[in-house]
Amino acid sequence: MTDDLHDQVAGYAMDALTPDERAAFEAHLAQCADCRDELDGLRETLADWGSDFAVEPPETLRAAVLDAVAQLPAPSAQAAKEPPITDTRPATDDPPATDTQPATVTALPARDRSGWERWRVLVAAALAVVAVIGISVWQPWAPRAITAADVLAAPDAVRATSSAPGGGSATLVRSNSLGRAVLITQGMAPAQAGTVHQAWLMHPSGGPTSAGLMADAPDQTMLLEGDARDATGAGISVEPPGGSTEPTTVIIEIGL
Amino acid sequence: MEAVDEPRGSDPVGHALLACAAGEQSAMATLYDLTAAKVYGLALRVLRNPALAEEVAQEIFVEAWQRCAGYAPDRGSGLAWLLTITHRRAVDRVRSVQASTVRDSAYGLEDAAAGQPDVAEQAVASVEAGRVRKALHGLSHLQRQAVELAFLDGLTHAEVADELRVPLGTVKSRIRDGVTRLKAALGGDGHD
Repeated sequence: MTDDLHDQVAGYAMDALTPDERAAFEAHLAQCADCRDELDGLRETLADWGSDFAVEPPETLRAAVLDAVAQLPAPSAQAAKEPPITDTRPATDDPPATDTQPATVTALPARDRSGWERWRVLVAAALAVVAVIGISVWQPWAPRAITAADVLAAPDAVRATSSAPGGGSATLVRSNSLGRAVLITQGMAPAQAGTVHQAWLMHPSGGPTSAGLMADAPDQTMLLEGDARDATGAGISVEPPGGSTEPTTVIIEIGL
Repeated sequence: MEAVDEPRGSDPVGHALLACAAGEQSAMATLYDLTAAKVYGLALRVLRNPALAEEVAQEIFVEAWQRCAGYAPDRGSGLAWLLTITHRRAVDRVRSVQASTVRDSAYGLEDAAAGQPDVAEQAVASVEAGRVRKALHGLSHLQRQAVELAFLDGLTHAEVADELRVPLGTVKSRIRDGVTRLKAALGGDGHD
């Protein structure tokens, strides 16, 4: 391992890397057990440091958190039967695919379906490379999990782009071999105060499944949660804090 | 890598995360009660804005609920897992707020922070007693400045280099050396 990569471990642990450095390092991390071990140790040290700033939050926060969580599906139905911690399978510490979980499958409102169908455009994989702007979805202790960079580099990746009415664009990249998809936004207007942007995956059958809450940034690259195999598209909706179990106001749709 | 069924030693935060992963919503209240002050406090230190810190803390706990199945006790403590998410979220938010401030001058982080100096100061004051604070005194001046700008203010390597007016390569190695010394001073290599 080179000194430069060692330097990157500390920078990564302290979130001092730019989004593209972060993505590149995560790709390296997936290959380097030494870096993963060093990172684990640094995280304990930084947690010690971070703990020193403890301040009691406003009392209203507790109810807000518990209410928000109460409205969400269980983290993983399969996790109840199978503790994730003993998983020694190579290359995936991911939560199980969500398409087998009834709790996360919701009916697609009819008004949305026609919109999704409109965007059924298959775009060849060899379009211009889209810069990796940022990785907003990640697993602290799952460095061998699939990353956004993996999806973007997958030989079977397909992609499609849509423009948002409010400005900006979103690109969906999906790899069936990896079973995951990535959403890349550029120049999107940030979520208004008191709302969040939530990503959704569309499937050949059943309704949209939540693909995670988006970071509050105009340009980002987000590895979508959930099994994206054969996904027919993705979308972004405006939701109350904490997100919803089905899309409320869809602001952009991308069809593959 | 060894496989373990239980969090190493006594790790109530780790236990709460595993219970969350098993779908127990009540474990979320336990997790919150064990960690809310640390999560909110770290977010507040990085963001220097109580309203933003509260909003981000809520997002962090929601994310913890959604991602707890990815917590692996053999890789580290529950608190380290949660504060890793906390720091990442706080830093990403501080950067996006700064970016939007530059873009449209709509919402100034500094303006907001200026209205609430007492709370940020309170957080800083509580550090004085911390053992990490003592360990920080063992770092060189430049190492300490570099790690504080990166970890507490959310600056990138390049921004730290600008701030300290030293070359980028120097900053990278100072941050690395600084955090390594910090780790050594705290007596540990974590869970290894």
